[in-house]
Amino acid sequence: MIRKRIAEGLEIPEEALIDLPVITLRGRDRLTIENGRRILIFSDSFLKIGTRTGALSIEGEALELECIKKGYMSLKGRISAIFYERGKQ
Amino acid sequence: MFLKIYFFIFGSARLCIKGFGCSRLLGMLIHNNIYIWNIKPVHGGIELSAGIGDTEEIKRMALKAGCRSETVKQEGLVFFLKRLSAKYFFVLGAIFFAVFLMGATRFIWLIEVRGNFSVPTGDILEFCRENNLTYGTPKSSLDTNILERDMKNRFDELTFVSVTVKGTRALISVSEKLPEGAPSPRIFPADVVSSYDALVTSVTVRSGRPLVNKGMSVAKGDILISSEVEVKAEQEVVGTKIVRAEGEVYGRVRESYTFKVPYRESVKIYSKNKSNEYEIEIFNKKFRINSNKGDTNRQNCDKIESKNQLRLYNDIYLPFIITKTEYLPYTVSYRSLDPNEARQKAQRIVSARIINTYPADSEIEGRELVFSETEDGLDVRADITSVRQIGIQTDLRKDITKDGETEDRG
Repeated sequence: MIRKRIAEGLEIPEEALIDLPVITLRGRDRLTIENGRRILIFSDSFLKIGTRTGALSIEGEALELECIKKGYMSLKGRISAIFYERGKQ
Repeated sequence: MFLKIYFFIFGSARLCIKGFGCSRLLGMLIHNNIYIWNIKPVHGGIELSAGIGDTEEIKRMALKAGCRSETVKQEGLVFFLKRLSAKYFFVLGAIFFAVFLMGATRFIWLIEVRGNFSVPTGDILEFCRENNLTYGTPKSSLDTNILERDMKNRFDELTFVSVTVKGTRALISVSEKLPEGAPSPRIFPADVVSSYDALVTSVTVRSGRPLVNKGMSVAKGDILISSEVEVKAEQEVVGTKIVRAEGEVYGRVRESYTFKVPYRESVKIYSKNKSNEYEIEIFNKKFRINSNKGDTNRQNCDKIESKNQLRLYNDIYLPFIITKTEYLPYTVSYRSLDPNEARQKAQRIVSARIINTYPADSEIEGRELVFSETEDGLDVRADITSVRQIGIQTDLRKDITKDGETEDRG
């Protein structure tokens, strides 16, 4: 909470200070996730990633991870849904 | 992009990892900062690509995560060269061929002569051979300027000589003088004279004075367009001048000729067992690639020969000439023609004669064939009526000066 307040006070992007996930969707076929923590489930139709704000689920078809680096992953395939699991923050 | 180039040069591996701990393994790889890409779920696991240096580490981690790992494919320049090194003779052959090509392009493998009419090509090539330009001459040892100068000195008939080397081809372009005593078409006066007995159908005059009109009958040797033109001053003829008459005179010409179609003719019957012979010429040495001995009697064969010099590109000829010789064996048999067939053959002979001897701008108005049968054949008289050009330029004199285009005759 302190980091969040500092970021707000100094007008610094929150994701830089408190590792908030940044999700960028390009069309329906390409998705990049920054500040993801770990992969929980991965199949060709479903991907679940742990983030600071909760487990992020991605549903689609023919999903493939293009590349993975620390704090960055790029996903391709036909994406149909992106959602957070309920209850956990 | 740079990573892709890096991994292409240093190599990468495609790993198949199976087991329940695949997600855990991915987490471990991210945590340990190991770069992986193209992660694809497969039945019971995942497939991923990684740098060749990281594979051992990944396999070790996979064991830790409770997975089985297997290398599916190894890619990159390193592995390509490794595979190539196993094909020792192939690599050696490729290197040898590349060196050979580089060496071969330093020589001349084709000499072409263009523009000569009276000087035989053989003489020019013989002169070139004496002056160090022949098949296989190194390009560096050839001085085209000296060769051009010497060739011009050697052959008086040549007014211009150019020797150019492009790729592995030497092109000798020459221009010749007009033959001794040949009239220059623009200098000497001439009449247009009829070369046939004909009925004039059209007259077009460019220079000279027309002596005939449409509808007039002319005999062979008659002047159609005269070189003598009148010089007038205020409607009064003050003299004449001689010009080179030019123009087209068309006339209706009737020509007759006779020939005989014998009732017995020889026919070539080709057999199906034709044979091909290939020969390769390397550095002026001929090697027969295949030869079909025995079954074909080469005495009664039609022979078709085709040569093809191999080349890399436009002017880069190589010292390999492939000659294909096709032998078509035949037997000669005789057959008899009935009068009907003889008549048809006569028609074909006349058609072929028209095609071969009449100029393209002539018009065939009619042809009549008169047949008379004899014991051994058919005598044919063909009358062909055509409209064709009948005028030809005939030079009057040859000793006129160059600027003597106009000269009084009287």
